[in-house]
Amino acid sequence: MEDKLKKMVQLHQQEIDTLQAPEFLWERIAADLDKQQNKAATPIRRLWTKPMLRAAAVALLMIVATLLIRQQWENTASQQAFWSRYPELQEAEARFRPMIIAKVRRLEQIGDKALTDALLQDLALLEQDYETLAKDLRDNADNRQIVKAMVENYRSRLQLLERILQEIEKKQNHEKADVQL
Amino acid sequence: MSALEPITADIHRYLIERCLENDRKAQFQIYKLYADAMYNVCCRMLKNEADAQDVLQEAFVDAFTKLHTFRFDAPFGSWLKRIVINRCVNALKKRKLLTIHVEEKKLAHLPDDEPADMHEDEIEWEISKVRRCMDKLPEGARIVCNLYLFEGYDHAEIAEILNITEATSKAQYSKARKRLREMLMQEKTTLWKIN
Repeated sequence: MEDKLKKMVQLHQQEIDTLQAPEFLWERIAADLDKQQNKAATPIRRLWTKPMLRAAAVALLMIVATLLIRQQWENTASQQAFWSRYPELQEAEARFRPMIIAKVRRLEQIGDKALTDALLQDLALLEQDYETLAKDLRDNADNRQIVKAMVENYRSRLQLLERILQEIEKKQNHEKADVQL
Repeated sequence: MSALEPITADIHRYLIERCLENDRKAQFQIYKLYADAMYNVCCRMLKNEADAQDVLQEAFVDAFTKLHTFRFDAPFGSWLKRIVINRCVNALKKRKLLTIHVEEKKLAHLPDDEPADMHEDEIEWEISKVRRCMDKLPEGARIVCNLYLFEGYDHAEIAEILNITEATSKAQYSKARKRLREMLMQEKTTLWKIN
């Protein structure tokens, strides 16, 4: 069945749009579009332009920095307090460390690169053993055997260096003697 | 849709391409071409000029922002009108005025046109009277009726816009039409009695 109502509305289509959009509406639309464009251009900065957020971020950074510095200072202080309980270790470190460093430099001066590299690898292994022992000492408070092993570790490193240096020097002396003959 | 397509497609394309580059003058030209027609759409849908202004503003900003999704395969006016209509429907839903789903079951059994057209000859449809009486209809029926009669959508399109079934759209229109006829008959009787 024909819809007379629909037909009547279609016939009068031109008469139904009688209102005009208000003049100010475009200004509001343009302002919204400007806002959207600015937002798209600076999506991150917008957060930091808010003074409260900026102040909060600075405060947070300061708190974190203070906590980190304090933690580091406390670690250093506690480490110093810990090692002061083992004077024999401090003594061994004071005695052997400069000697080991001097021997390594001497070895480097001699110039046998392959031998030096192999030796430095052995020394690194011994140093790893030392760190393991130090950790054990921290975990098992006041274990005299571990302290003794740590002192021995220093001594082993020095002995290893001395033995190698002696070998090299002996070899070099032989070579000189051969040349003289 | 002729009122919504006042210029040729070529000029449209040129303006739209400039709008895509955020050319404010081109955006203003597009706005001028469609503002009045879309404002009338909003006023018919929302029955309130202040709300219509707000929704029209949102719809144009929305349209310019997502203009890159317009593919030139349909008239620009139709594309824009659909954004405007969707915005209107959302505004009505926010105000909880659009409650078609509640009435859906009650209306599902109604036939499409009968008995609305039984006394068709007795009534003279007049555009101004129809529009005035439409404002008194329940919101769901009014919106379906408006979309069908004034905005030119068929029931399949209305079903999609309002997220209802096509049968519901037809039933709502039938109900609206019947109620309109009753209101106009009542007016006619009252006038006859006064005279």
